[in-house]
Amino acid sequence: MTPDDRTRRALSLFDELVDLDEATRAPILASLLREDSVLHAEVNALLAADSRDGMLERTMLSLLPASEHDDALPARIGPWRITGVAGRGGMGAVYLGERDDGQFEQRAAIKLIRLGMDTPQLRARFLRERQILAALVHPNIATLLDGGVTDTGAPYFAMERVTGQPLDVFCDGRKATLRERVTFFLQVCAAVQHAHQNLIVHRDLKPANILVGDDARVKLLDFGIAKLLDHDGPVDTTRERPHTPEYAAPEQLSGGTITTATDVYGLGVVLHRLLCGTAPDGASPSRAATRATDEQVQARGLASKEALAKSLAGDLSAIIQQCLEPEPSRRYTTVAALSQDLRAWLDGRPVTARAPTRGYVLTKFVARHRWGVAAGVLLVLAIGSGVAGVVWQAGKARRAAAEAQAQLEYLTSLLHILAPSTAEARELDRSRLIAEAARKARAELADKPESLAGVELALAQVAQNTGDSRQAIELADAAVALRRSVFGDDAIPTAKALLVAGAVRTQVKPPRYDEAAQAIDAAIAIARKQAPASALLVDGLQKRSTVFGDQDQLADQERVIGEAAALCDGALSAEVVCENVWDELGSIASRNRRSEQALVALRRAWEAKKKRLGTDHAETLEVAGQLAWAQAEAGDVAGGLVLAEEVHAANQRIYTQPTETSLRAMMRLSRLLKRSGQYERAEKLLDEYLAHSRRLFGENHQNTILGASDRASLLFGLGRFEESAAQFEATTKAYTVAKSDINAALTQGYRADAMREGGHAEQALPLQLGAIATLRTLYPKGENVMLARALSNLALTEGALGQHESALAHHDESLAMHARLKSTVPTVAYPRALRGKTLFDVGRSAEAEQELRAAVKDLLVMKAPSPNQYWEPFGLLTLVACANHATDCDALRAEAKKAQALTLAATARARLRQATAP
Amino acid sequence: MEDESLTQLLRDARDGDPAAGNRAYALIYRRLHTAARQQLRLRSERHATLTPTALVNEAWLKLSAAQYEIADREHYLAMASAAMRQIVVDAARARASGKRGGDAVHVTLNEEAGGDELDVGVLALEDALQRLEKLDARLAQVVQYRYFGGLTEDEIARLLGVTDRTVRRDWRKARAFLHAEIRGAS
Repeated sequence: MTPDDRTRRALSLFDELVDLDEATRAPILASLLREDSVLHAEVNALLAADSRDGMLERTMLSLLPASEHDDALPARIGPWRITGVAGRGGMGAVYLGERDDGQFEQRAAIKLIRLGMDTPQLRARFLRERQILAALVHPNIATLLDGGVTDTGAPYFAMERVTGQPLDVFCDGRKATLRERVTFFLQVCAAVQHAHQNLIVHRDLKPANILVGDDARVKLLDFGIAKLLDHDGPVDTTRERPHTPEYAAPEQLSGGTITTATDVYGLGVVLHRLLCGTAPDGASPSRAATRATDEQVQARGLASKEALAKSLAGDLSAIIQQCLEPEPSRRYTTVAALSQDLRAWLDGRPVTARAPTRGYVLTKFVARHRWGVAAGVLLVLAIGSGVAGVVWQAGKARRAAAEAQAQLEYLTSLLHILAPSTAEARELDRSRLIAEAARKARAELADKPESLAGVELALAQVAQNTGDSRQAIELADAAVALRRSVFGDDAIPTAKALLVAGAVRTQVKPPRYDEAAQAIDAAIAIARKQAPASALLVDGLQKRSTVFGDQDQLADQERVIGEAAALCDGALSAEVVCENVWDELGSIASRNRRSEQALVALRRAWEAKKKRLGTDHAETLEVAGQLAWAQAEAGDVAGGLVLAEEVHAANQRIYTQPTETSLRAMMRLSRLLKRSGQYERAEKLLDEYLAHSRRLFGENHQNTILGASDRASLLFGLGRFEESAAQFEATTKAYTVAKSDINAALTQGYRADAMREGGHAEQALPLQLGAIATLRTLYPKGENVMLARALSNLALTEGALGQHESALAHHDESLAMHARLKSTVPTVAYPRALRGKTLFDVGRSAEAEQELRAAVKDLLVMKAPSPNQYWEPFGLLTLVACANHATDCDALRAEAKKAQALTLAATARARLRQATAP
Repeated sequence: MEDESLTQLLRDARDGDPAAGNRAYALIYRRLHTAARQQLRLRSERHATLTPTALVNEAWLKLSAAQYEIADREHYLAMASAAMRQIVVDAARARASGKRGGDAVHVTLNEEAGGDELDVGVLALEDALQRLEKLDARLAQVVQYRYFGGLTEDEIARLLGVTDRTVRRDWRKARAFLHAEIRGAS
């Protein structure tokens, strides 16, 4: 019977059987099963299909896709699968999209822009720029997840999908008072300020771009996109301009220079609308309020138009009007200054916008430059140099005010360079912009070294942020020199500059650790003298500790971080620098297997970062990842795994492109998966990690080496010893090149382990001896858990070669070291079990059995979280106990046999197999 | 584009003019394609749902002459069913090939299912239907008329020269076969 014949027969049997009841049908089917099981299966499948719904229950038209007209949804945009449309406008449409790589689903709002991006240069620039925008991470900014150009040349942006209402609608809906509205508006200011500090101007601020979610958190959309389009789009005057006329600053309409002041104007319009209910029309906000509708008045919780006008008159009016000055230089120079004034209004303090009319406690000089004073609070480029304080003390220190003034004026002009309007200037990249800014500063502030130093330091930080470490070093050094000459070698400002000069040196490739250490030590010395219990000293100590760590000077690292941690336990605990201290303390404790200490420190850092930055912030996630690891180290592998999965999922949600921290999270997750026996997913993640790391950092970067070394150890677990040894060998070489002696020695030892397990113990032995010799020089006091482990591994190799006596000696040394290190009971139990086996090998079989039984008992807690650590010694115990004719030999063997069904590392499985071999 | 009288073309086709048959089919295909697209747009805007039956009948009203014979109408229904089936399959194929790197702008689907899943489903259905044609041409014919053409059981019975009870039994067999087959394929 051909398959077709059989199906025909099945169809006719189906026809006969389908209307019969179950009882009549059953015997017929049963006999059919005996005659022809294939036919029986076919008939059964037909009967089953008859009783359930399927595709034909859908209307035929639902099988048709929507039409291919303009208003149709694209199936895909870039990597995004489009699931719906959120809205359409003149610029294009906003789609709802999802991205799914099998493990994680990410949802986005995707803006497809309706214009062509024709030249390759424009595309390249567009793609480069989106990376910078993607780095704009702030709780009040909808993160740019992805951006690109479709095959047809249309640019698109995928942004974090925010559900919420436009700020004005939201405020009206909840009848927010003016105070509440100002408070919400401050979140907008924070977002814009953050972007400005990253040299990104929004240029299209309007309520539609400002959403408030259910959590009452403001999210600003479309950052920097308007600017990209405006600069990069083809010349086409009929094209709709990205900004909205009602909210556009005069310079936008006239084609003038766009600066951060343009956003200040946009903020002014938004604030005007938020408070008065209408767009500005040239009249003062308080006058505009008299034209408000009753509805608008009520939505602000006020009784009458007059009451609204009265509330707005004075400070709020002045603030809005200063934002809306037609001449950019007369507006608030920074958003920080605007925020400061709004906060002053909230607190009932004087606002700077009204300085000329209110007889403020400012000198005439400052009053004449009132916009400059307002700008003085935080400054355009996030200068943390104390200038703000200097300005506020202006009445007392006229000279300082003058210096600050000069600096502010300079920074204003700087903005014009950073947001250039000419075609030639647009070609300048950020490094050149910074260099140009520095050149200009040095020419114009030559007679004002204090100001110049502040500018240089600020620029150094900007350069560092944009990845230009060389320029950052040059600028920081110049600032140090200037401050030395102005403030003296022993002054706090000099110390601050030294810290920057030190920190940037650790970021350059290759790092200049010695120079960094020198600069930071100098800063610490100043801090000890001038400010012995200050955040500055903590900052210095923490930075020094990092450098010690980078240079493998671990004891010094601990000493220094310990001092910083002690300071953070006291009055300084709220300082941001303490987060870094706890983080580092946690890492060090983790590395030294002091898991309780690690947990405490990391949890503290995590809580602080969560509070300050939010759960999904990159820094918070990084600490959460470390915490996950520490948790696993402390014995709670399952709990650690859960947290690590959460961190990984959050990263996948937040970043389209992996970052260094998201990759670290991926690696930690892979390690935890490996530890819990999920080798397959661990390997998959690790391969993914390596691919990204090679692409992002290159083959010989430490992140890539680390991944390669993890892969080698995974291969070891899988029993692919040859491959593992080869990969470890490559890793050792890479570490040697990178001058990381500890890692080179450790991986050399692991390579030896792989060789031993692969049956080449005699080649392994010299490698292991060499590795241990290196470790002994690196840990002169001989007290380190890595060294203890290496000794225990050396003993295994000696055992494999029949050198049981020296194996025993090395086991003893290892255990003694563990004892001195106060390693936890389960940590010691494993090497203790290995020693037990060696006792057996030297003929002390009763003692061996006793040791093994004790060790296995101690390891019982590891059975679930780290099964390999339990079952390998269990295998050894079974072997020894049965050789000793123990009464429970059969029971042990049965259990060992059963355990072979588990997912275990190759070595653990091998021990279990040996134990159960007949 | 639609000046040619469908009724006349159908008669010419029945009189043995294969070119007229092809033209009639093309005319019906185009008309139904347009109508389906309009319908889908309406659906997304107003959530209106038109049945295939209404669609096919509407197109007939647009295409046919005022005076027609029953044979013309039956001929049309057969062709319209085939055309609808073709339209659905063509759309799914276009999307599926687009996903392999064709045009960037593609149509998407209704809200009920994921796109890939839908395309796979339509193409699997078509494969199953072709196999059914080989096994039992009448069963496949019933599916085409009823599912794609939206024809009533009476209309199908008349077209196929069988009783409507047979149409019902055929449908049940065909339906079970297709669902079983699609499930087996995926």
